[in-house]
Amino acid sequence: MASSSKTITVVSSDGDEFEMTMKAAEQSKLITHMLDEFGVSDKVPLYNVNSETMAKVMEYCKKHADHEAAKEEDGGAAIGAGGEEELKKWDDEFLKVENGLLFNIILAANYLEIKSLLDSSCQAVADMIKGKTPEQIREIFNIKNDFTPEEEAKLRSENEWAFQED
Amino acid sequence: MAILNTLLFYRTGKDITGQVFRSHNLGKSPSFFFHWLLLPTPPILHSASQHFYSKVGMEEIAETEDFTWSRETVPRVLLLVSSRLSQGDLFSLLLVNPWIYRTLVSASSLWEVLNFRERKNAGNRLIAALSLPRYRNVKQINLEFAQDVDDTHLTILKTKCSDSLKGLDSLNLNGCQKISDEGVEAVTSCCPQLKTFSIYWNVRLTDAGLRHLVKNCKGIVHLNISGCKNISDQSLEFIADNYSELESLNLTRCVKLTDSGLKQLLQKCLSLQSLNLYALSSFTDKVYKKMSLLVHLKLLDLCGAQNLSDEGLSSISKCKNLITLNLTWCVRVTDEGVISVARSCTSIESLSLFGITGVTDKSLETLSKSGSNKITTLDVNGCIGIKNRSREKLLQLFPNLKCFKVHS
Repeated sequence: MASSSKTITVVSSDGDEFEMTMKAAEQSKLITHMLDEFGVSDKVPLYNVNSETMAKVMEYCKKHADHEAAKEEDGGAAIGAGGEEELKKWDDEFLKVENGLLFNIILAANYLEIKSLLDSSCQAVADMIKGKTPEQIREIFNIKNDFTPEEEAKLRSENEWAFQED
Repeated sequence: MAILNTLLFYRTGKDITGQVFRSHNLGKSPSFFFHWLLLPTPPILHSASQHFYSKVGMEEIAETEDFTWSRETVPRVLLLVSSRLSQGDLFSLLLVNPWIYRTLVSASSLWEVLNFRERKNAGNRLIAALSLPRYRNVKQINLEFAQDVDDTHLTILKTKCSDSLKGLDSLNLNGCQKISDEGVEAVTSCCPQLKTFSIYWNVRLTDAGLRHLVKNCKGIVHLNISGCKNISDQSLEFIADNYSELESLNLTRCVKLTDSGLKQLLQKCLSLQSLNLYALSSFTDKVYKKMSLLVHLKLLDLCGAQNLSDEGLSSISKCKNLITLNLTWCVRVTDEGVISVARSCTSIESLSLFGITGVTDKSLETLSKSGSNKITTLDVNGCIGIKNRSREKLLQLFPNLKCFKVHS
């Protein structure tokens, strides 16, 4: 298929240009829609995504596009039963980055409408939060507590019913 | 100039050129610092101001980064993550910082369910929760087997929290045995939009409680009064007269019910898809014959229907859309009845003939011919009239069979 060998160029907020194949671009609903509007010859501006994040997103789209292509060939024989698990492992490793970048990946996946990336990156953060106290959450994500003591006390008492031990 | 710039930066997050330092420039991108270094400095104070600049400026930049991180980036991301978190984790997030609090509290879809299943002190907790503005759009309340809920709590809800209950869609009071007709009146008077109401195993509930329900909640679609032993035919009349759109009804063990009440129901609740008459042995063929009126029926539980004969079952078989049929202990039934079901109910997936000694291999053969690949559950335990009912034999007749037991 001729279209799969074409590439498009996207531009990050830092002005850097990134090339991606059509198949990789199809991972993003937003890019797909923009291509329909602007056509392939133009550069697609993605001013909400900086270069560092863009590089990671490109990596993800390429990996998943390659995986899909391999599935289509051979009717899935090339991937085999372990293939999906392997991809999941790759995704898990891929998301092992420091929190600032992880959060930017989430925002980018949301903006670019890459559902699978949004799902796995959000789940990664959800897993970090599970069962943690507010203090622990602040520590993990380096968040300042700017509640005044009065505000915090009020909130705690209002929500005491939720935290009560049984 | 440099100092002015720095101060501007501190106050507004923008430098003198108006460029906003966005959240993604978290000091990781080299261009960020480079840009900062390009800010003009007066030549005379060059070295001194540079020193000052480097101290004060860095703090300002760090502050801005913090600012954007804690107040914008984190709340935005946590909102995207929030649908994957338990209520407990959401509560912890609310206490992290005011920005996260505000962002999450305004996402009303996060606060539509209040679940106090098996919790202690549930009545007071429910009142405390419903006093908070974020629950004003609550859609589901679950108090199944919750402790310490009684009529007084529900009455307080009516006086203090009726606004928050306006949009309630589903209320589960299963096992709340301290609640009586009074409590039912109080809570249902606050939720006219209620569609699902469940209050199983409550012996205090009487026909009066049902009267309140049908008066207050006109749109009930799913009703479960299993184990409410004091309900009589009068309640079935209330239901029949008011709930023509009813889709599922569970009357398990409501032993006071008779043919007369059920007949009314069958004639008027024509949208029923699921009807549970488990352990109701006083009905007779007179009313079973009317079952064919329920053309949309998909699930029918007749466990213990000892008076059901082949004639009655033949009428029931006219409900062609049946998917699940429980005939456990329907001891008068024979091949004749089961074969009529096999021939007519071609969508059947789950069937129990537990304890029916009058069915033979003939029934299974007919069943197999008419829809064998759909059946995934078949219980023929105690069917001593069937010679070939080993697992292997059954799998030959019904290749997709997965479950061999319905009745325990």
